[in-house]
Amino acid sequence: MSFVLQSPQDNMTRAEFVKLPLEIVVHILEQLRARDILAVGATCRRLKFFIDQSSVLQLITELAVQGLRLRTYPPATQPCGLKTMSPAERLDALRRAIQRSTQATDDLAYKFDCQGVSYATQAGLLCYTTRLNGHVSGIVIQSLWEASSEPWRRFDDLGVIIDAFAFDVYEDLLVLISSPLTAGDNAKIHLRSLRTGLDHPRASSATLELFSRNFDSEKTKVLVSGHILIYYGPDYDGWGCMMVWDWTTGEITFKMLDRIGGVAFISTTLLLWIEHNDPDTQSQICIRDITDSGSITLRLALEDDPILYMEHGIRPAVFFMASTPERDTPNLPDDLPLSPYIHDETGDTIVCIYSESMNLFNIVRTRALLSLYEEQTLAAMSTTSAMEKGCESSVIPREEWSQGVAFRIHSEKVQPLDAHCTAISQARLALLGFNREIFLSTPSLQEQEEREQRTEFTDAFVAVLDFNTRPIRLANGKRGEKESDESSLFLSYMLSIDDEKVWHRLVIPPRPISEDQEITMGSSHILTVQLDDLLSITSCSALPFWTVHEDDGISND
Amino acid sequence: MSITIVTSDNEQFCVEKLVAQRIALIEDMVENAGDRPIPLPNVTASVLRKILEYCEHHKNDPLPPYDDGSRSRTTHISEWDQKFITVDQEMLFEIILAANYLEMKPLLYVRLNVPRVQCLTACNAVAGDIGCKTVANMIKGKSPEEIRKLFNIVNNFTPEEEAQIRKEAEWAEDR
Repeated sequence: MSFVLQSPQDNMTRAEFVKLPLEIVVHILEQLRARDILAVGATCRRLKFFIDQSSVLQLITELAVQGLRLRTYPPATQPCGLKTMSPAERLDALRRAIQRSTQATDDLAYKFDCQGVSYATQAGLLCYTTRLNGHVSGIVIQSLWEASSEPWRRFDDLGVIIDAFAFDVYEDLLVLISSPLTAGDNAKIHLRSLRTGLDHPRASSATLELFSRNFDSEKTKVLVSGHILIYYGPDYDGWGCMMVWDWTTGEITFKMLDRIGGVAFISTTLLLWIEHNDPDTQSQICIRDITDSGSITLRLALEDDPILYMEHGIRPAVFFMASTPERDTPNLPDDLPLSPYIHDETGDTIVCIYSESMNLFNIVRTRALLSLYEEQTLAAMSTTSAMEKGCESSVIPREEWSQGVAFRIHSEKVQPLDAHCTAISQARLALLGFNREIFLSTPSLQEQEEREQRTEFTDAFVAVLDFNTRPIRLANGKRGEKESDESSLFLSYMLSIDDEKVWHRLVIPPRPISEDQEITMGSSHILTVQLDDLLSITSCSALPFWTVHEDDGISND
Repeated sequence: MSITIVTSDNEQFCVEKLVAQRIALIEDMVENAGDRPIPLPNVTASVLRKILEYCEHHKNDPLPPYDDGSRSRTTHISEWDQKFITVDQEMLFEIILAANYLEMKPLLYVRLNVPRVQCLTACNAVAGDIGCKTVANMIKGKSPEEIRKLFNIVNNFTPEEEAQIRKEAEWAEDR
């Protein structure tokens, strides 16, 4: 008689991943992203069953469909009793909110008079300037998440006339730019605490000097990400300077004094700007890690035929950035009602580079830019000569980088002022125009022209382009029961009719209004809406992304 | 003062009480056991040795405060823990299972939202937790086929089912 050390029975009881009990598998997977969860679910029946059973994993997946993920560090006070909600309840509330959002109602809406004020959003917070005695000198910070309409903070008089501002809730930072009061003075940057409105405690100097120059204060832009503070001051011709500070020390870390056409963050440390060096050369998209002085500057040609564009006197400027970089840190103010969800940084976002003279929209996927930058950095590190050249990549021609990364839409028919352009939820871009086609797109040029002949003068056009490739319907309706659950698109935009400027929110239903009103171009929609209809279905609001009023959701049951 | 623990393969362990107290199940059993040895029929000697090694190293750590659901989702693991958990796959899953058996309750409480004042079991919960984090890190970024290979999983989907699942998961390919 002989004994084997490991009998077949022993083999059966070996600890293996597939033999772990459900709660352990769920605990392992809930630390992962939707992509990994789905990958595990695609390995075998048992694991697929576990994943389908778990409401936590379902919630993570459904949030990913929306381009969101759970916040890692929720602030101490959460509205709506979120902490006591189980994942199943949250999932339910999320689904209901998506469904509810197809009807624009006043209780979902937020409205403010934006005559002569500017606004910024971050993490579900809306911050906008207010007037006191005719001067823009106040700030209101409103949580779009909180059901109450009381602002989180309101400072009526911050003691300066605000030309431009930015805020970063993670750094408790409010940045105000004020024009020089007298001709000899310099413009100033004021660093304040978002909580108190007073000088920021972590800034070694509470004000930074801007050198005196003629700048167009309407186009001045301030960006903040962590310790980085960026000021972009275009001249009246649309080109200008860019200054980068570490605002905690007050040191200038990087500056370009001229020829900058626009600036945006594409991640928390990577900065994108448009540069036009010489009349004979092309405009370039430049990307650089702004926190690392030794990093390379990636240069991408913006146009494929500079001569052609030169004739038009092209002046690109970064029109907007789809979403500001978000971070998840424990440094959030305790009493701030924030959304428990955060934009998933792995999702795609877009930068829109708008060339005013040609009414040309250059739309670029940032994720592709990020991997291109990584690639170039690695390549530069392997060749020392590239490092010696001052960390500049040679200009990469457009045809070499733009495939599947960037594309253009344009129309020479539309005056820029007719077109409004705004970002909705990450990689969705909306263009809104009146009276005429907002743009012509090559694939359906003829179709558009035919349509234009039928178009009434009072029509408004809303084009929504979704650059995310997720099939929302498929993901939501995978059990065949929620075919109509496709999430609708939110659109925040500013209407300027007869000098009355009000922010509006338009909810575009999941299905086209009627068959003949929609042209589909890949994942984009062009809706033709009668102006009157547009205004009547529009609740006035400015939502960077949807909100879920979960207490409502629960009590409705 | 020490306690005697007997494993499933009949090995006896003499454990310092302070160390044993980090294990909730034992903490509960000590009350009733008196001087008799405590049997752990679901844990083998090799696994218990690892668990005790962990408890010994962390015996003076403060117990973490009540977890209110804001538990970090980061998959970061400290250096010592990293070294501790560098074991073969079988041992890794054994540790996770044993930590679960020895009451990994805090993690379950978090999910069910049952309030509990202080988690005495935090230590072995964390032992299980770093095991889970390690497994999560192993899965990150892999394709279904790579995961099958990694964990020796037999694909029991029909080709039609597989095609359907792949179609459903396509949108998440890179997020």
